[in-house]
Amino acid sequence: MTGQELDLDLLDRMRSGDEAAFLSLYRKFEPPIYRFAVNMTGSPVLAEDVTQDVFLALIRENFGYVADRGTLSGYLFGIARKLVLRHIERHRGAFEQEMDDADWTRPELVAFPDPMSDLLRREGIEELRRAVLSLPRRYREVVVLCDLEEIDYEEAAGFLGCPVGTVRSRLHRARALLLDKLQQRFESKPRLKSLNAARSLI
Amino acid sequence: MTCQEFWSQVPELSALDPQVDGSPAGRLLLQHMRGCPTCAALMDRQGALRAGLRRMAQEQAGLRAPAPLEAALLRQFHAHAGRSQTSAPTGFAWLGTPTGKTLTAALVSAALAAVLVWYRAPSSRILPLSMPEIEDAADLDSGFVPLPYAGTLAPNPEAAVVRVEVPRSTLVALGVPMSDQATGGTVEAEFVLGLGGLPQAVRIVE
Repeated sequence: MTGQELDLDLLDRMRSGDEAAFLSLYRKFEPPIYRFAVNMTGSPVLAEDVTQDVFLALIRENFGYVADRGTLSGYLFGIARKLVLRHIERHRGAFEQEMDDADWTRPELVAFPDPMSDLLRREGIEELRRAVLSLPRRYREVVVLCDLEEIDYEEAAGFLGCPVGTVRSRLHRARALLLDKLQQRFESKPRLKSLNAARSLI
Repeated sequence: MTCQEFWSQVPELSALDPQVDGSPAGRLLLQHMRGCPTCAALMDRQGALRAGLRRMAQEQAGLRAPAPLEAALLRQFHAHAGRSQTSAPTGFAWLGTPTGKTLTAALVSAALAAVLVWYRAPSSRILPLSMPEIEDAADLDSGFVPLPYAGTLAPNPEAAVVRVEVPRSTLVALGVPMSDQATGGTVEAEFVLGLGGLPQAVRIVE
């Protein structure tokens, strides 16, 4: 039995009121959906709301899922994506301001000799997480799906409703943007330190 | 191999490390990297980025939504499972969906309006019954069938009952059991109207 067949079996049992089937589906899909929402929004609170709404939709509107049109996984990620995009659109200004503020107000910024060599250290991972969050939405979602959730390109294309080639090109562009952002952050740190040093002289 | 050819041939847009790819294409890529410090440096940066993203994914592997969410959703599941098993038992499952509910409500309202207009609504045809208020749920056991979108029929002091003629096809579409399977013509039926005049239940007048 394939993963999709197993999911459909669980869905059928869930529809007939089988609690264990619902819990199996929840425990299978909650972690990736929650992580997707966290990585897309940067907010655990919002990610919890998104996760809740995705499963409420499954409970209340499971008849909206049509197996012929795609996998259950894709259906659930599709709902999560719509909810996330709705939030991003609604809070676009605040979201961008939050990212900008985060770049310039962290006092603990420390310059490292090479932003790439630092990527495996905790500080480097944190910088990378912030860089991912600051990517434009269409690039961020391919990085989150393909690089962080390790979903293959075809499945990601199904989630996003675009050709596989678009996923590839967006991923290519996203990685280039990430490298640029990391480099820019690296280059900005000495300036920030210099600025702080200058302020201390005033 | 030019730099452009190099980047167009790196599998999966540089997701694969040519250093560990022993294929002929991989060897060509490796050969280009040895002769081109720029591409080699870019590949190193891409490799470092991929390693960083893998590390980030590993750190997040245990990330979960707060535990109380599962319990809250389980309660919602039980509440919904209870409702869905008591409604729409006649193969009209689509009536239980939000779209179905909206369509059904619109259908019934439109049918009632159409019937009232078509018959020019002679006052004698709309017969408010002697029980304009439903005081006891037992009153509803006399053949009233709750409409699919209405949920459980509960006592409602605001409810009223009207008698109209409706097409048989409308009642069949609503899942009302008909003794005669013919769908043509009209029958006389009584509708329980809830708040806002929305029909809540129906019964055929024999």
